[in-house]
Amino acid sequence: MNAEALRVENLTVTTAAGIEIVSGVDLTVREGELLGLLGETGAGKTMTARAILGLQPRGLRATGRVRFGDGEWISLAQPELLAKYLGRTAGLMLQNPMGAFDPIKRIGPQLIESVVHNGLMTKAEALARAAKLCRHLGLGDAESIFRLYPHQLSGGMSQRVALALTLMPAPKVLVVDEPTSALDANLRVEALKLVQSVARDDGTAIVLISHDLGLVSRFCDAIAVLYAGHLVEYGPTSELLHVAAHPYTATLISCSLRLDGPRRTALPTVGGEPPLPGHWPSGCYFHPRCPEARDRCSLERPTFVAGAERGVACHFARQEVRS
Amino acid sequence: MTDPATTTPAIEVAGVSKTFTGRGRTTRPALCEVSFTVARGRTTAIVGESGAGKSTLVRCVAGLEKPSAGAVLINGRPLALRPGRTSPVQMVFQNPVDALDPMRSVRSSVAEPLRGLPRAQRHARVSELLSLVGINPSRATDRPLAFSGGQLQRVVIARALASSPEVLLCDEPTSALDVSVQAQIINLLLTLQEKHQFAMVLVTHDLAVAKVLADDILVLRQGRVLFHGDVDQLLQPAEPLDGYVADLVQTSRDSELAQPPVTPMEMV
Repeated sequence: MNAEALRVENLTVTTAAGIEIVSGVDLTVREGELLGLLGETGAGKTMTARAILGLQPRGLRATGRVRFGDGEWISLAQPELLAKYLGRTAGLMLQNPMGAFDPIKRIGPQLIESVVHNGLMTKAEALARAAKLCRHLGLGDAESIFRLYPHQLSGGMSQRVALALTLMPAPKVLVVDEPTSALDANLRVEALKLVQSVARDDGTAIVLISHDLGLVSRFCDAIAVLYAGHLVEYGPTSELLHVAAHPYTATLISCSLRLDGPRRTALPTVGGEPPLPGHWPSGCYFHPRCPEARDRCSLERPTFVAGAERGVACHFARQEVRS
Repeated sequence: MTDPATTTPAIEVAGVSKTFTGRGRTTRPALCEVSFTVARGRTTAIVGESGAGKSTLVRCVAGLEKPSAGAVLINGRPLALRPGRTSPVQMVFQNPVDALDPMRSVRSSVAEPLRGLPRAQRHARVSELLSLVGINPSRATDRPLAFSGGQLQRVVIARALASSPEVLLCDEPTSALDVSVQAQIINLLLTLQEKHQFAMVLVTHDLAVAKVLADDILVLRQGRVLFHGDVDQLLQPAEPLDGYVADLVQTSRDSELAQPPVTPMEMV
């Protein structure tokens, strides 16, 4: 089994008003593995991703600790310590690719700027790597891409260039936030294949944040499901899809559309929508929408039972978790 | 397919082309000879990558864009948009947050197409519409900020239905929503169409959404129609598909859930 590349313990993010938007999340990713962090609006996916790297917005307080590889434990409450690991050890790619670029600089210089400046590569090596990444990402002729300005890129292209930018220093841990939401279906699969090959070839550990269970199930080795700021379930992809221990995971599976699914007939749904931060229900946060909710669910919040392979937070989990 | 000789289709798009003139007098063809018809109570999905001309086509049908060539007929007549009249073609946009005025109550937004009616009647109709889409009418005076994304999309659908349109154009109606909410909106659109028998044009990038909502599929690429036909013909083609279209189906299969889900009924 591969060595552990990233371990996060008890990650909690609190707003200035004292509302917990992410509560006690534990994650582990091994070298060369992809972990899918799945969640809907307000589940705290993006905040989790940013807090791991100490990049949560000002005014939000993170607690818990993180460890890269076999290094030291670093407190998440000290973003200035985490900053040292940003880039080479741990990279982050955010949802909005346009925000990643300097609008008045050509793409080529932007791609190589940080790695050359930080002495990770010579200019020639950096250019060669950038060109290789561009080819991999289906950007066509790298030379002509390098000459463009960010505003000349289409939505899909800018997402791919942003991915190339993040991959430039070959980070050991990569947190990717919704890398494909602006891409067309065909490019989406391509982009994720590339992210996957980065994990397999370079041994990078990847946390892939997404709301798309279909894509996550295709590309990730393990899945962690967030609901309303809490980890509700994690496990290896195939086992989790085979038997979802938490009713919420089961809901996500049954709501996923399939090409072989029914035509023009009503789909199975659950009522309601995910709660927004600060409007958390009592007891188990999923109980108002849960098809299996019983009295205990509205009164008592289930604790997360973590096993070696799988973990679940449900009073009536349908799959025993063995430690 | 409906026989056009016996019934007039609700939407008839005949040989529509659209060319935009950019800077430096360069012309960019956005649509090229697109033709299709949609009968009452039926749905055509328009699928394609970004830049394929999906939005231009829908804007042409809505009368927001004038085709460079060809014609769009709604119930056999060209669409005439007149100030003060509500169009028989209504739209539902991708992002419901942007589609509603944040400073107006939901009631005021939904009542917008009902301006001619007396106040009491208008309010009664808004309550009726909101209950139809599953929003509690007692929340009619709330502003959009008080609603979640899925609820706002329901409000947008209620507004689109306010004038009893012949045609509903949905531009990516579920792609801004969560998975568990997407199914609710799909079910709502299916029920409403069953009840009101409007013709629907659905723009989507997701073939699975097209499959569950649509009768016919139109695949566009660079303004040209690469495939037009029944959904099943696309998924189980009798004859080989165009390479691009086949790829589209394949990538859609490649990105859906990895293995058959545990029977959904187990959830009950």
